[in-house]
Amino acid sequence: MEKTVDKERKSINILQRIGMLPIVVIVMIVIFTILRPQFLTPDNLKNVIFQASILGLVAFGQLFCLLSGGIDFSVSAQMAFAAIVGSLVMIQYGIPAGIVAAILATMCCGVVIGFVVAKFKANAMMVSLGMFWMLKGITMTLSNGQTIYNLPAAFSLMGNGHILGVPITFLWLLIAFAVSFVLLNHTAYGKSLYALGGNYRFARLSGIPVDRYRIAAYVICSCFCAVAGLTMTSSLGAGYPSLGTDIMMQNFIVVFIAGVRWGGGEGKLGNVCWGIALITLLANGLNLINVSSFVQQAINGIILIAAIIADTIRKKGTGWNLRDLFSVKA
Amino acid sequence: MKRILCLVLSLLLVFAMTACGGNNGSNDEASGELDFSKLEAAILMPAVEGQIYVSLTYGCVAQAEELGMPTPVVLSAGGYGQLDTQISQVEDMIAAGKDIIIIMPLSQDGMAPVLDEAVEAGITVMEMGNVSNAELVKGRMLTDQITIGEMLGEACIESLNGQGNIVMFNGPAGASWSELETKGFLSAMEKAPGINILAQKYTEYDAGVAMNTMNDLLQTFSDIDYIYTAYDLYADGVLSALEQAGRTDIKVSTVNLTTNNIGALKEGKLDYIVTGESVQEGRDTMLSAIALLKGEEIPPIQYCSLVGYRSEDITDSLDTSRMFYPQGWKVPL
Repeated sequence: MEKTVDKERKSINILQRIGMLPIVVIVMIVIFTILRPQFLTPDNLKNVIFQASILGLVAFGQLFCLLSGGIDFSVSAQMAFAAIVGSLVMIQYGIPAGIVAAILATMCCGVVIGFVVAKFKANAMMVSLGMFWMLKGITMTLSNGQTIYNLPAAFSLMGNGHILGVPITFLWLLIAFAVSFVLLNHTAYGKSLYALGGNYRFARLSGIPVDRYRIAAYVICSCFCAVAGLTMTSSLGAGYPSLGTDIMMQNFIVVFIAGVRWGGGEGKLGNVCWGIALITLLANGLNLINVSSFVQQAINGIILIAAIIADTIRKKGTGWNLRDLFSVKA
Repeated sequence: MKRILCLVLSLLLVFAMTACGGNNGSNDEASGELDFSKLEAAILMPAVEGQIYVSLTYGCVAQAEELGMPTPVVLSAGGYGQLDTQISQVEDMIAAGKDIIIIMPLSQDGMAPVLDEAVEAGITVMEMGNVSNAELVKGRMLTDQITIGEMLGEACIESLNGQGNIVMFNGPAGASWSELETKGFLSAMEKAPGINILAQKYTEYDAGVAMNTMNDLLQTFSDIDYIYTAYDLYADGVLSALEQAGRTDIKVSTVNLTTNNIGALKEGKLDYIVTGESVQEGRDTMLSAIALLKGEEIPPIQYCSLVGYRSEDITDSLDTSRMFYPQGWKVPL
């Protein structure tokens, strides 16, 4: 009898340690593969990797903002802004100048959001929404509402190139992951970010430069958004001012199903990776089995609402914790 | 004493605002004589991105300026999902006392009440491109979306000789133009039982989303012969996906000839394009609005001309000045 109880406890512990997300992802892969054998072909995996890379870059950035106790609603506008700035500059001054200009200009947006949020204690949601509209206007003005064509041919490598058969976009995701992993787990900045998001007052009294760290979180997010925007631009072969319309919703779904807490202080990079895998594979799988676009939208909405409810329940401390089903226990 | 002074000043302010608001009444509309220098117009677009929207806007603005009118106010709703924004914009223009509103309504039913309200306020309203169900609006310059769909459908049947598998990119869900165009395309398809529709996709107005969706569809269906795209931006995304996959065997059709896709059509990457003359459509809309303001009778619905192009139609002598806005022109936002 005791042995059976022990076994049950062990399996619950394992489940709690690895979380439900990986299991959901694996089950999903099995189901989609049965329904559509093309799901697991190398060509489709390359396709999934590309889509995951763009979403992943933005979701990693959003993780920093959320951990710091903030949020960034301007990620899609930042992608489009980077796309247009990069395209305009590279046509005039070459690819390196275009890439650098796009990243720096977008990082400036992060500085502005972070500064207003940190120094004026402004509501991050409202500030970033303001930035969203501001950037939409600037992007439209810069591009005159037009797609920027005739980019240098070599720029297409950034989004369409392959290394040993793996899309080069995955390399950008790996670099972003490595940077995020080191920053969050092996630097004082990362530990302070968790502390700052968990208890702002305590973090400030402990001597953590809270304002600087908060600004840095938004700057990192903007940098990742710029790379995502440039990668997408490279892949499309033109700078589109309407880029990233689907990313806004998807990146929030990813971070919230990954158990990143709205309000800060909690959230794991590993879980975000599983979240990226889940959302990308789900979108891809649903397209492969030819599910209507309307049903897909509804499914995304349901997942987001479920993740938000789970987060709210957990914060209220009702004891029933749906969020834990999806996240890895420390 | 201070209170009385405040009251008097407030009343003066209200009086001044009332006097400034509403139609300026400077034009003797009954006699048909208009002082163009005092005519104020507003152009309300769903978006001002993409060559067609900019060309339509240019046509309206250029015609107004050539008549001696001040440069019209141009407002963008920010996308097809922004119905509330467009309603607010119309309300703002009513409050601002504009003489003319040229609008591309985002929704047939959703925009009707506020457009009727504008007409009741004495504003001349012309609808351009899309149609609303506003009963009081007397002028509509439309693109016949059903005919566009039918032309694209017939071109598809011709290119496939009535046999093959197709995928449809219908546009943003809920947009009236997209629904009508799809209706036209599907009605043409009824004449070709040998053509099989593999999938219909409604996506955001975003070339990136179209590219990702196309990548997924290429994995789903290995036997796609033809892709119908409801707008040039979708074709851009689809062509990027096909290029990455190295698929040159799939034919693509779209709507609107642009400075970019004219090259793709010439190279054979695009099979067929249906296009209106956007600049001319904008000009005609402004002229019709002026005629309405003068009290002249105009047909309640006018349709702009549509032309279908294949690669062989793209020659050096093709005049694009009625379609494309001049290079370097900026939307006066």
